[in-house]
Amino acid sequence: MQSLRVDNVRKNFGTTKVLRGISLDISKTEFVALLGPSGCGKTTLLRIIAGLERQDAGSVDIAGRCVDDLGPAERDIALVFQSYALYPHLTVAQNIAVPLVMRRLSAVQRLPGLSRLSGYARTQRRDIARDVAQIAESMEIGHLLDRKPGQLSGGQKQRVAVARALVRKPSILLMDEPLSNLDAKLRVQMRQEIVGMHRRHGATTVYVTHDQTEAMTMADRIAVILNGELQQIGTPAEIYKQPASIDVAEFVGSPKINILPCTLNTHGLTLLGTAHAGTAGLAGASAAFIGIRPEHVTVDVEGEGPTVRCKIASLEYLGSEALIQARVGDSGEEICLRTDIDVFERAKQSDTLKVRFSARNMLLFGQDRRRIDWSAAQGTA
Amino acid sequence: MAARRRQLAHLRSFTILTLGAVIMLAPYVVMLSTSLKSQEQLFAATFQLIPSPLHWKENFSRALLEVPLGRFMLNGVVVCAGILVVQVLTAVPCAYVLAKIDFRGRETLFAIVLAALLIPHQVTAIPVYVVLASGNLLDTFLALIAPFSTSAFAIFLFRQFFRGIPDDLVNAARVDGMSEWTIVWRVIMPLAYPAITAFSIFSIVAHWNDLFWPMVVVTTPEMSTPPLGVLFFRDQESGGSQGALMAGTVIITAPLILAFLFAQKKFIDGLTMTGLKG
Repeated sequence: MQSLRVDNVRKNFGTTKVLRGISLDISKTEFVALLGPSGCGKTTLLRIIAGLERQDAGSVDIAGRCVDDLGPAERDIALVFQSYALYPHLTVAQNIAVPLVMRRLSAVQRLPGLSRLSGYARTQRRDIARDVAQIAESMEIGHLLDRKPGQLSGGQKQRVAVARALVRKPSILLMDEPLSNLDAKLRVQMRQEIVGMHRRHGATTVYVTHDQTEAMTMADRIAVILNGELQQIGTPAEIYKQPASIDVAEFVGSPKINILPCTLNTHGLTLLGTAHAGTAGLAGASAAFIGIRPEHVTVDVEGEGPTVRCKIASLEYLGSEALIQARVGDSGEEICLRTDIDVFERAKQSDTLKVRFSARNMLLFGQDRRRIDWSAAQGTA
Repeated sequence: MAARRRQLAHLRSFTILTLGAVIMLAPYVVMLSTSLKSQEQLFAATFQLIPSPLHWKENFSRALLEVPLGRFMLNGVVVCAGILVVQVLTAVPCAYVLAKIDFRGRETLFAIVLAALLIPHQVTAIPVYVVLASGNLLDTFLALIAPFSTSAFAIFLFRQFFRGIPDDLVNAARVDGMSEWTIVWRVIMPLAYPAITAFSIFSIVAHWNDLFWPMVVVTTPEMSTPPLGVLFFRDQESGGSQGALMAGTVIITAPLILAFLFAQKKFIDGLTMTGLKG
């Protein structure tokens, strides 16, 4: 069932095109990450979904209802801000209660002391207190309810912000880089907690991040946004293994994928000025670039795929593995290898290395930088 | 050597500060001293800072009994409180709109507010007086309060302060279901407390000490504010009793001075904050 539909949304700030027509369909209980570098428009898209910003063209549907003319409060969404945006003058309990108080009590009923006079207001207040306690318990902040936000640590503030967002069970939960203000260790922990929370509450979640690890580990699907355009949407594995374009391939994965210009046609593969005759499996395909991830550049003697001789430029020891930067021939092209420690130790002894690009894992890109579906290319051969 | 030089520097700044303090305080000390003197001591050939015998009893009792000083002070409290409450109620929403809501012409509006800061209220006194007179409102609290019901300075001060409040907080309130009005009263006002305190100091001091406007719209002692009341006193006595007059001024300045002594830290914090933000 569809929960959120973004249809061809465009937004300009002055002459800058921030969003160039983005369309997205997100189903109920799905966790989708909007991934992109800073300034790519992902936060703007989130704010348009939330109703804090108005799109110049296109439309947004939430739970099958067009919300273009509705304010943020009427859209049945909740938003967790990067800065948490807790009310500094209210206690944790009051902070979490705000969305409920604003919805369940009228302006008159909200007057302080009125719950002493009105039975209705009193019952409502009691229900709100119960709901707040419940969500606080599930976020493990029950013991902090009487504190002010100023007395909380970053991780605690984060939980309060999530609790405030979840307390009224919105149809969509929006999160804007919620972990970017936490230290590295806490970030890993909160990552798991947010995933756990999503599993428990099942709220449809749109999660903005520039951190590919967050997107890869948390999301059901990732929407990669570059330069205000949706480049690709798919599961983390699809994004990693079958990137739609060189840009996506380069943005996702660390260290960056190796992209090398080549000529691949019916005559065979020419890579870095060297012809590799009879490269099995590539027959019939044509491409202008090949992409190969650092872990698929091997020093194996056996195997399928072109080999090249290269000069070691630098070595990085990472403990469980190592990275080798190497320069290929005279072309000046640098490639990166991710290897095990044995290879690293051997490489330290010499300055050159013969590497093999695993043919099975090679990605092919056309002149337009789009990926060429290789198996399809094979099929036509 | 270095220690000596430091001592010398200390001595120099201490001397300059003392000199400044003496100059600033001298009139006030003379006022205090005069309020303790009889008419003869006042015109004595030698100046005595602390006269003997002390005549404070007759001076202060005359000040308190011959003119309704209590009434003047009460008027002063009502007028200052009235002005402050109305100013805050009008300036906070204006400042919020200028600081946090984006619309065409916002900068122009703000420029107009800034321009209003440049106009002294004496300039508009006559038109305002005419309006009040034609409405038969002279000699009322309304005439004393209404012309100051909003303050360009307050709008400016609050706007600068509100710009420091993160946009995300306002957006969070919108997502949580607050209307713009609710945001102003439930989120912005509680956070604006330091700015409101700072502004209160300016507003209260200015209006408690204001002589010009009460003189324009008030004609009866019943509606007089403290400074105007003291003036009535002088008229009555045609300058014949400086001692009692000074006793009166001591009494009307006392609340501000006591308030300052009690809230010295807040007062200075408030002024420093405006200095930084303004």
